Amino acid sequence: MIPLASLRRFSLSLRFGWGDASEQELSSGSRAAGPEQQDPAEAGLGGGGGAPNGPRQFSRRAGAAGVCLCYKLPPPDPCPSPRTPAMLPAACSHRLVTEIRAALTACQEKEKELEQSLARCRVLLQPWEGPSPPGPEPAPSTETKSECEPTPKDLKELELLTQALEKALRVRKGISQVQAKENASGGRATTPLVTAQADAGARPRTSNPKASVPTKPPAASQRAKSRVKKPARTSSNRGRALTLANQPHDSVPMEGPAQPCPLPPQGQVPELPTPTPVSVLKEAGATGPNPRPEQAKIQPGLAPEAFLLKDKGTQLQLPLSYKKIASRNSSLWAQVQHLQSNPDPDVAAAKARFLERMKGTFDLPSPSLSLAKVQEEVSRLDQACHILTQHLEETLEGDGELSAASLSWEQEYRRLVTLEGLQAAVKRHLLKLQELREGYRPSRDSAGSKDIPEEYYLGSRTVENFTWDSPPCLGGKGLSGPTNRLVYSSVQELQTMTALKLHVTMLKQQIHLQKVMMEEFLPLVRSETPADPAQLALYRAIHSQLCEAGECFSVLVRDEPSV
Amino acid sequence: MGRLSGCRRGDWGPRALPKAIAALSRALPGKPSPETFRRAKFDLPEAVAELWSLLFSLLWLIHQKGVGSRREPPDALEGQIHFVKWMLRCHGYGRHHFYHLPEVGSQGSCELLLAFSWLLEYFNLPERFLCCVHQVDDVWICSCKDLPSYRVPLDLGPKGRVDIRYIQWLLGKLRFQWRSLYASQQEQCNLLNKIHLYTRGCYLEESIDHLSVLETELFRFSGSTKHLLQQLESENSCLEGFLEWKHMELVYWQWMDTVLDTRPVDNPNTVKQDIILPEILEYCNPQYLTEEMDKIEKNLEALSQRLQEAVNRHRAAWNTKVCGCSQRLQRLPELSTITMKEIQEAVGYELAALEQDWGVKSWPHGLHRLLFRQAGELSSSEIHQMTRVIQILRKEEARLKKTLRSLQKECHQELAILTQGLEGVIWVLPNS
Repeated sequence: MIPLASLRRFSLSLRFGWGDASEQELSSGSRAAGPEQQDPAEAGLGGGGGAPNGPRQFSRRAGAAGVCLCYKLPPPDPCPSPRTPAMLPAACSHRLVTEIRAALTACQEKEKELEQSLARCRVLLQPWEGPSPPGPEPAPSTETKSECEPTPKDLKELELLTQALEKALRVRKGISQVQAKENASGGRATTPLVTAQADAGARPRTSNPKASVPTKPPAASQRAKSRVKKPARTSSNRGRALTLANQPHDSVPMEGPAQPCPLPPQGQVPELPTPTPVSVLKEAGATGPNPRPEQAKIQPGLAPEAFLLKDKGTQLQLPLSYKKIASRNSSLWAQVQHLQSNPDPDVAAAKARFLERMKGTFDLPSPSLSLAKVQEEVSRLDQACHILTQHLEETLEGDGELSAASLSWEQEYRRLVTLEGLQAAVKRHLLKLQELREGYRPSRDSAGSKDIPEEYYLGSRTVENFTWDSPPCLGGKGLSGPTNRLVYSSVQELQTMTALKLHVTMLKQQIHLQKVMMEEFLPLVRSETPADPAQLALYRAIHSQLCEAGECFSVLVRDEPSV
Repeated sequence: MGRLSGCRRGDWGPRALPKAIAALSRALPGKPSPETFRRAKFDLPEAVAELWSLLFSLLWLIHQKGVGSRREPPDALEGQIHFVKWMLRCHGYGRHHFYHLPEVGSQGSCELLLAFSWLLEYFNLPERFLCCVHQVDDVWICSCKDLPSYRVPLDLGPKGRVDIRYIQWLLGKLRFQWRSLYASQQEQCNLLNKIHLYTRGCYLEESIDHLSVLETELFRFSGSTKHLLQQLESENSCLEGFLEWKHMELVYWQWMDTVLDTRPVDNPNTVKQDIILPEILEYCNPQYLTEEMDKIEKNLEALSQRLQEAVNRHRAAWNTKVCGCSQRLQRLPELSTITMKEIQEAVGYELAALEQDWGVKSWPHGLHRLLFRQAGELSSSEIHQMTRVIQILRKEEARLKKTLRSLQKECHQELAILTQGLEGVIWVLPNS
């Protein structure tokens, strides 16, 4: 707590980013971190879940910052010394930590999936070799084979390598820029510069640091790529970095700084890039700098240029075999769909008869509804409850804003009737629940109900609904063909939609966590009045977490008796 | 359709049944052989093991799909048999001969055959397992496909208590996770759009004119074509088997009737003991179902209370309005009885539709294929679909935000005692 006198300094509502600020704050317990902690990025971060469009410009920095903060800061010791008795009781801690960790893991899984698909897309957008690698290069077939099945892991490694190379390139660019200009007038045959191509192709990411790369390196990278025969995943960066080394003037001065760097620029361009980038590096490092003989190979400009999806994408022709199979596939699905919509009545009758006869032979004493059916009904009731609540809120949402007088007679009557209808529906469902309870006899199976791990449930405890009759959701080809397509016409649309989806999921998670915290914290706070500063700090933290989503903190001021 | 099936039925020869079963086995993941079925009808012991494993594999698949958990399937025959018995019990299968089958798998193939046929009918089996190879870019429009929650092992300190700061740190970490997820997702949309844009012009069908990511990869990595083609081939054969099965299904059901006839009929007067399967506790904890029911009852009660208050309030307001009006006039000119009846009917339909929609969503739901079209070429229905989805999502978002804010307000009120009533401490709220 702070003495009253210094209140003026901290009169602003203190918005904290994460990490350092709150750490300092809580550990001292006696001063609030000053406003100097605020910086524009952090202030921008303070906005709760953030509107989808809001944090866009902060997102990268925030993401980076978030990563930095999370990784640089060691996590606070879960059990600090007993000097600060701001600890939570065991059961409470256990539950909270479980829930939050579960949420974190789910996010991390999703992030991993996204990363993988991002790597795939990036690989496709960078320049690649044409579908038929030409040229009589000595290429052992084994390497071709092993290369043709890229795993997401490899793609990811490639991605990381690309980033590392970019960094290296940026560092070295300053050095080489001068020499690059000198060499431009040298005896090098410059292939037609396709600057935009190389640039745009190599930089699908928005964080393009060097939009104004000089023209020399792209040209050089063109040639470097032409030397690489494999349908490879050489990034243009690698080509660039390696090509820079091939300028004879560079080789000497660059040798020095290059050695400690893991990416020796003098390394010769590997003729046969291996699948894993790591082995490429080793190879490149192992062979000594030998640019001269390689240059000779550049000159007979070997045929294929880098293939860019951007330019040539429209000319791609799917292989005939694929087309045949895919068309057979879609015709089969169409037949299936037709069959689903026109069921054979004879078959249905035969099935029903068989089922009836089977039921007749069932001789075990069993409740009227099987366990699975009970569960289904229960989850349907749950859903019903949600929907009715939703409907209630929609009906009542005009309540605060419009006064009763401004509503027309019809509207008001309608509202009344709706409410009464909802009430009747709720009563019906409660009755049904009673019936289900009576029909369901857990006593039979409750013998020895030990502490059973939660995954061993018949149904799922989380949000997924356990419905037997949900039709199989077939991606775009299945039961309701054309209506299973979602068409978008601009990037913004797609981005808005996915951002909204993400936001909705996030809000649901937040609400769930909020409820859990309320259940755990409120009894704590109600039970005892805080006695000492540490406990006050605990209460302050609880207050901020529950009421402000952890973004703003109150200021506690000790009321000093006037002297 | 009746005409067609009639003429086909006349064509069926003696080989129709094995053909039907062969088709069925192509459509199912278990791949049973027709010979097994024939043996099972005569209750031969050789068919037992295969039928147990068939039942197990099918039920396990269904279980996994429903629960989404990642448990390992039991290896031993005994464990598998337990699982099958438990699942069938939960779904109300009641032939006690089946449950009394020994767990070493030596007899009872006819019972197993009957159980299999019952499964076929109850779960709509071949249809359920028709899954497709994902060669297109999909997006899930579904409110129930939320992030699943994973249980992580805990490593708290020896006393098991944590500091509030640890909780705060975890929550902040979660927030940053969300932001980076957002960034990655936006970027992915961008890249996806680029790929769609660049590959326009490669006509697959009339209505689609660009490639998906997987298809583009076919060009990039020529080895992956083989894999994809294999997958598609297997899917094709599965579909063909399914279609053939559907055409010949009647034969099978007629045959099953004869199988059922061969079973001995028990004396219906003997009282059968119920089955106690202690091992089923390994798979299911019935307590949780009662907990679920308690939770729902609580929610429904709360909702009922809210409704009660709202109804009382509105009724009172309505009555004052009506009374105030009727003092001046004989009847209500604004609201005739006919209109009132109409409104009642309309509301009745609306609420009934609500109830029916619980299983079926009226808006686009499920897995959708993502397609790109230039703005000028869209048909009106397509434009509307996308905007509808966005609209629904926005409404959902607004609703959730409101819920969150109301929860926070509730906390505010609860903690007001704290913030206002402490001795010797002034509590300055933020934003105040």
